[in-house]
Amino acid sequence: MILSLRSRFLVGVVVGLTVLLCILCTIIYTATRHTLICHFDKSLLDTAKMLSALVETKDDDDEEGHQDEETISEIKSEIEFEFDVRLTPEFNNPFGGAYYQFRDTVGAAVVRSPSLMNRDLNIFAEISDTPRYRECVLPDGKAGRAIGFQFIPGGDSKSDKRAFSVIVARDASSVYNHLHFLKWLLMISSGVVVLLSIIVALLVTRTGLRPVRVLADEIFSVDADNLQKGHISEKYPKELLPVVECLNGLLQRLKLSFDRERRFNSDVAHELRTPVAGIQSTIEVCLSRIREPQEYQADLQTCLRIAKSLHRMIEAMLSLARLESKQMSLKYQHISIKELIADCWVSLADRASDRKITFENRINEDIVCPSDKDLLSMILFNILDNAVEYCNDAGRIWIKAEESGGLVTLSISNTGCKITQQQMDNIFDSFWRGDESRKDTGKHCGIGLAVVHRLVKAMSGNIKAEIEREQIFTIRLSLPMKKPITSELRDS
Amino acid sequence: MRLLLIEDYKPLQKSLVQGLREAGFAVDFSGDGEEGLWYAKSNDYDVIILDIMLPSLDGLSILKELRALGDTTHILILTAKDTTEDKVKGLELGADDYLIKPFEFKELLARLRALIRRSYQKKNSQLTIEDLNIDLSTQQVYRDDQLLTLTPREYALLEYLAMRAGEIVTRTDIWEHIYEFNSIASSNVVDVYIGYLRKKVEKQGKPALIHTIRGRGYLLGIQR
Repeated sequence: MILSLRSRFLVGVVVGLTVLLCILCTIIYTATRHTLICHFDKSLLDTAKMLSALVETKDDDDEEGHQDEETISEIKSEIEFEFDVRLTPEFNNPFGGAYYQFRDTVGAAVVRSPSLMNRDLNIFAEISDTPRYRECVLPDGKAGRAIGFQFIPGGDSKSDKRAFSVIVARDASSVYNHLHFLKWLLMISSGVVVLLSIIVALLVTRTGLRPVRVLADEIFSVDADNLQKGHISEKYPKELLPVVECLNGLLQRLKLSFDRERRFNSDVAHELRTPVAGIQSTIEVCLSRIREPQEYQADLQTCLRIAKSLHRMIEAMLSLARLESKQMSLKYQHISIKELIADCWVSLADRASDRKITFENRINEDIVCPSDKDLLSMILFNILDNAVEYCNDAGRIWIKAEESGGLVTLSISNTGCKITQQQMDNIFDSFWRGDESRKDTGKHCGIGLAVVHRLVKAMSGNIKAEIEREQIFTIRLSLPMKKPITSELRDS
Repeated sequence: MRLLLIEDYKPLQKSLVQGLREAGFAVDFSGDGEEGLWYAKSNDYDVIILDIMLPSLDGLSILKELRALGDTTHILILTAKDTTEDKVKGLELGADDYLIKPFEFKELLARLRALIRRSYQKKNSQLTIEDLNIDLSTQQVYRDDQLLTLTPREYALLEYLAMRAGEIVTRTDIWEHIYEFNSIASSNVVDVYIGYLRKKVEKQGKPALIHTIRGRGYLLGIQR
C-alpha cells in the first residue's frame, strides 16, 4: 500500500520529533543526574575524609586518659577514634539518615556511628585505597549512597601502621526524588510536544498540499475540447514546477496529436468533396440537354472511374480506422510479392500505357512475406497509383525487393520527380501541410500516401521516401518477414 | 462572356468546361497554378473560377498576386475548404464570391452571371434596349415581343454588346470577351458574326440597333 503524502509527512514528523525528544530528554536527565550525584558524592567524600582524619592508631605511649566528659572516646582493638558528637549530630540519630562504620583489615567492625545501633553497613564486598561509591538501601530502609575506602590512620602511608576501612552512607532520597520528578516532567512535556506537533503537522500538511489540490483541479479541467488552451500556469511552488513542466510537455504532445488527427480527418473530408463535386458536375452537365449515346457513355465511364477511386479511398480509410481502434485484426497469409504487384498493376496498366510509361517488376518469385493480402494490396496499389500519376510521359516505373535483417524491403521508383528535398519531409503528411499549394505531393482522391503511411505503421512495417539521382522518386516499404507477436495475439 | 477556370481535378475540369461552354461562355482552363496565373495575366476575363488546392501555386497566392497587380477581374473561389476562416480569408484577399464543393451546376451558373452583371453594373437579368429584350438567365432574346433564334456565338456577341449598350465596343474587346484563347484568329470573323446578328435582330420599319462606327468598332442602341 502506498501511503498518502499527508500520512508520510505526519509519520515522518512524529517519528522524527519523538526520536529527537527522546535523545534530548536522555541527555538532560543524564547530565542532571550526573551533576547531582557528583555533588552528593563529593559531600560524602568530604565527610568520610573528615571522619577518617579523626582516627588515630592506639599507641601505648598515647594512653594518657585526659579526655574530658564531653568527648566520647571509643577504643576498640587498636583504633582510637575521637570527636565531639555535637559536631556531627546527624550520625547520632537512628533516623537521621547518616551512618558510618570503621573496620579493620580483618573485616570486623571496630567503630560504628551511634545511628547504626550495632547494625552493620555491608555495602562493599571489597574496599581499596581508591574511594568507591555505591547506591544502597540504608538501615532505615531509605535509598542512600555510600562511600568506602581504606586508609592508614595518621595519613602516613609509608609507616607500618595497619590500614582501616571507612564506610559512610547517607540518605540520598531527596536527590532521587528530584531525579524522579525530572524524569516524569521530561516524559510528559515530550508527550505534549509530540501531540502538539501532530496538530501542527496536520495544519502544515493541509496548507502545504493546497497547491497540489489546485494543480489537480486545473489538470481535471483540461479535456479534449479545451486542449487548445490547455496550458497549466506556472504559479506553483518551485517543488511542483518540474511536474507542471512535464504536464505542459505532455499536454503539448497531446495537443499536437489531436491537431494531427483533426487535420487528417478534415483533409479526408475535403479530399472526398472534390470527387463528389466531379461526379455531380459531370451528371448535371450531361443531363442539361439531350446528347449522343457515346457522350452519355463517356460521362458514365468518368463517373464510374471516380466512384471506384472513391470506393478505394473509403475502404482504405475504414481499414485504417478499424485497425487503429483494434476492431480489425490482420489476416496473415504467405504472399508472393511478385504476384501481388502484378495483380495491383492490372488496373493501372491502361493508364500507364496511354502515357507510354514502362513498368518493370524486378522481384524474385521466391520472395514470400507473411502479411494481410487485402491491406498490402491496398498499400501497393496506392503507391503504384501515385507513381503512375507523377511519372513523366514515356517514363519508367520499376519495383524491386531485398531481404535482410528479418525484413523484406520493396523499392518502388518512378522517373520524372519534381518534388524538392524540403517537400519530402512532409510527403506522408496530409496535403494541407506547409503551404496551401498541393506541390505535386498529392492528388484528389489520393490522400494516398498519408493513409498508406498509417496503414504500414499499423502493420508493424516502415515506409520512407527518397529522391535519388536524375529526378527518381523512390518509396521504400519494409515489412517484417515474421508475423509480429502483437498481431499473433490479436489474431488469437 | 469569357471565363478562366483554374481547377486541377480533371473530371471536374472537363465537365465544367463543357457545361460552361454549353451555357454560352468562352472558357479557358488550366490545371496548374502557375499556368493559370499566366492565363489570368495575359487575358481580360469576365470571371475567373479559382480552386485553392493547386499544383505549383495555390489559388490564394494567385488571387493575392492578381490583386497586387491591380487586376479587378471578378474571381469566384471554388473549393472543398468550407470553414468560415477559409471563406473569410478568401474574401478578404479580394475574391468576389466563394462556392464550396460539391455544388450544383445551376448555382455556379447563377453566381457567374451575377458576377458578370456586376462587372457591367447591371442589377437586372433582363436587359432592354429600345424594343430589344434579352433575358440573361434563359438566354432568350425578343425584338418587339418576337423571339429571335440565335446560335450560341450570336447570343454571346449580342449579350456582350447589350452589356455595353450605348458604348462603342472595339473588335478587340469583342474578340477578347467571346472567343477562347485557342480560337483561330481571323481578321473579319467579328464582322461576319455582326452581319449574322444584324440579319436576325434588325427588322424592317424598326430603328436600327447595331451600328458600325467606322474605324472604331460597334455600338448597340439608337444612334442619336
